[in-house]
Amino acid sequence: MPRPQTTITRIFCSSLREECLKAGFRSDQPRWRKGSGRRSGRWSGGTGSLITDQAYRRLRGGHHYVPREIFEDLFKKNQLRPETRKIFDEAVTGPLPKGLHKNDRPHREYTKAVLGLWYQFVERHGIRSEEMAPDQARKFIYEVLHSDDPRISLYNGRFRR
Amino acid sequence: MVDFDVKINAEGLGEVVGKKKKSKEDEDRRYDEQFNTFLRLRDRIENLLEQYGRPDSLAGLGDFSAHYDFVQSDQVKVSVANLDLFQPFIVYELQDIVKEFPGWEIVYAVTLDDHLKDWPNMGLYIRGDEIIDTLQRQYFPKKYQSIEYAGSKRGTEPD
Repeated sequence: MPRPQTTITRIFCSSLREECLKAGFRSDQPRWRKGSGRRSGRWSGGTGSLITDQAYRRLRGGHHYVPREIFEDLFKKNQLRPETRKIFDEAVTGPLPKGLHKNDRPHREYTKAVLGLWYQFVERHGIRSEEMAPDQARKFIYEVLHSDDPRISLYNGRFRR
Repeated sequence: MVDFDVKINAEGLGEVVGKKKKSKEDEDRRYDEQFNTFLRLRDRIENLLEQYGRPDSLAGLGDFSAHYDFVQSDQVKVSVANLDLFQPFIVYELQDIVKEFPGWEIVYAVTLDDHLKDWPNMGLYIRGDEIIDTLQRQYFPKKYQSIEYAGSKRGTEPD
């Protein structure tokens, strides 16, 4: 017969469940077996292997490292594969703090600089946008994130805490 | 066994956790509503401007770019790289759109590629009931210097 749960147990379990979900774990995810050293009993699969609906919703609206306005147009024209678009779409900072009602000229400079990188990237890899695979999109995002072009690094730096 | 004599008011604690959860849900709902409104307004702006110019895309820089970066403010920013898009009839059409979104505004910024560094920040703040004009026309080629918007107010860029 199952033991009746007290209010405090229910709160503890529910809060633990929330924390696990926040970290990207599933309760049915496999764990490291007993005898696996310090990892014993911990969930395997790595943090963030699953993004919950709630976490995904909170990601929406952040700064896109590859500006969405520039890749969305290619997608609309069938010049970007849906799975590649998804990679670009999910490469965001997460929600931004409330912004000022002001002009944003560095955004244009950022877009220009990312476009410059894009041209170099597609030329180097000899691909067209419609052929770009998700892994290549990830590589491109990596290059954007690690670019030493100040128009890119300074702009992205605004969103780092 | 040590008795710390700590009594936990389980019901009270449950109430606190419940309230916190509810407030988080409310915050998420507000965020989603504001973000969805932002997307609708942004798409309307882009659809209109596409009739008069080319948007930026990975295929190349165009005449304008309606930003997707959402800053939890009731505004959509547009970088405009072609002064033809500042013609009053286009601005009035944008104003007609934003009228359908009470409390929202369009930040319509001058961002000409040849003058990103040497021109100051300037643009229009287009709201349903007013247009704040921070354009510094002395920088423009002559044919754009006489552009005026009926009922607009001259302003300065915020710091």
